[in-house]
Amino acid sequence: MEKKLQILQRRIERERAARKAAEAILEKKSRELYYANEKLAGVNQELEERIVERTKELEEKVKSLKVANEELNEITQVVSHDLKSPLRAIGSLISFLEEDIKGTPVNQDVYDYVNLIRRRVKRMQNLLNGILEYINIGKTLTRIDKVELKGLLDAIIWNDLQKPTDFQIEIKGDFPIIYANGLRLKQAIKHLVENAIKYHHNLEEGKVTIEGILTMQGYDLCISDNGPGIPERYHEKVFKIFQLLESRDTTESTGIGLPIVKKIVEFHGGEIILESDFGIGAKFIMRFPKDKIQITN
Amino acid sequence: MKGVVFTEFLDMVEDKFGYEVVDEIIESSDLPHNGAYTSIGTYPHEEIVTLVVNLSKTTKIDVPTLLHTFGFHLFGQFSKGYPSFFEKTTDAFNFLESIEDYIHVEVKKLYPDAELPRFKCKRLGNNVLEMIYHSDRSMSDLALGLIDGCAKHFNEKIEVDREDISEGDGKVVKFIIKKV
Repeated sequence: MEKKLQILQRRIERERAARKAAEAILEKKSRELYYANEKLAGVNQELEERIVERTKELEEKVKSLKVANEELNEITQVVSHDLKSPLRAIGSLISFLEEDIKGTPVNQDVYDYVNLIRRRVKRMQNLLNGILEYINIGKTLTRIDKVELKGLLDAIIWNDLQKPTDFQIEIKGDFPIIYANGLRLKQAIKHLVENAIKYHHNLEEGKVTIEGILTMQGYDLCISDNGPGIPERYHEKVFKIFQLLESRDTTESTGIGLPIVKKIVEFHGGEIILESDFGIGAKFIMRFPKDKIQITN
Repeated sequence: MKGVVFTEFLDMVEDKFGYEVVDEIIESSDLPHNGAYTSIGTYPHEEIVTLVVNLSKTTKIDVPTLLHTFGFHLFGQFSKGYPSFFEKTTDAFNFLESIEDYIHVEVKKLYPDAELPRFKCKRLGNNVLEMIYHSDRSMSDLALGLIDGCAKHFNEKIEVDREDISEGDGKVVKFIIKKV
């Protein structure tokens, strides 16, 4: 009995020692957890402060962008009314002048100068209209349509396009449904096709190929011609506003068309790529992301 | 060594031989922790060796048999205490293969100071697994008990060939486990 009691006593002592050891370990772990929590709370606090700071910065940026936008709108107003009105007036005055000098014995130079002024006024009007269109394009792009690409291409080629009789247009490949602003997409495609015709060196043997290619990333709509091509050094310049490759005196272009095409394609999440070597034609690729495409059977 | 090994060992001794034997094997040596262990603690490996050797002397059962029995018992306790380790496993081989890359990784997260044996597994066929045990503690008998306990848990029959591939010190041991 004595022995059993002694064993029991030792057991109790061991269990008590084990309990105390466990308590000490738990206490230590608990402290570690507390400090880790405290550290985490500190990091959390710091992150929250950074979020507040960044939000404030972003709000300020949004504010300054709004101001810049308002200023741009004001400039647009000035351009559309304050600059266009005097131009119209000059145009009218030129007409009056032409009426007045008609049949009167004036130097031929006078007729030439009047004509030149008329052309410059026209160019100025074109430039102003181009600026307005470029600025306003974003406002009209908010509407998204389900565009049947094949139908859109047919409408452009058979109804809208003015082309020389012998000029060939070939359509091949895949033409899915594109989720885009129908009017602007039409404008962009039409501009690329018109450009290919306009700058062709041989209109009788000219050919434009419109090819649709479904890719892993999305969709490529390629418009290529067999015209003179564009030297590589101009490949970036052609997409910049008012950048003309020819002198303003030899072309009626305003240098606004391709920048507008670029803006339209980029608004739809895509990109425009130019592949061309001087002398062997040009290829413009309108590249659309997968989420804008719906493949039809 | 993790305290859970000590507490499970003493529980097993008490179950099989009674607390008098537990008291005897503790009292017959001068153990640094006096036989007071908690499962969440860590204790010197030498203490468990002393306890096993003492148990062998008391019960006249050889040390390898005791270690094997303990390994077998320990696996059963692990499966009850840590069911989450068994959720993704379907059979014994699958479980044994998960020790090194899953279970020990998780154990290290909770106990960064844990010194764990290493188990390298390689399938030699559909029903044959090679498992190489590495440990400075030379306790391959315990490992074998755990392997047998694992097979029992999954209701599988196995045969195990064991070969000491170290310099005779039992620190690196190859197990060839066959399902029968």
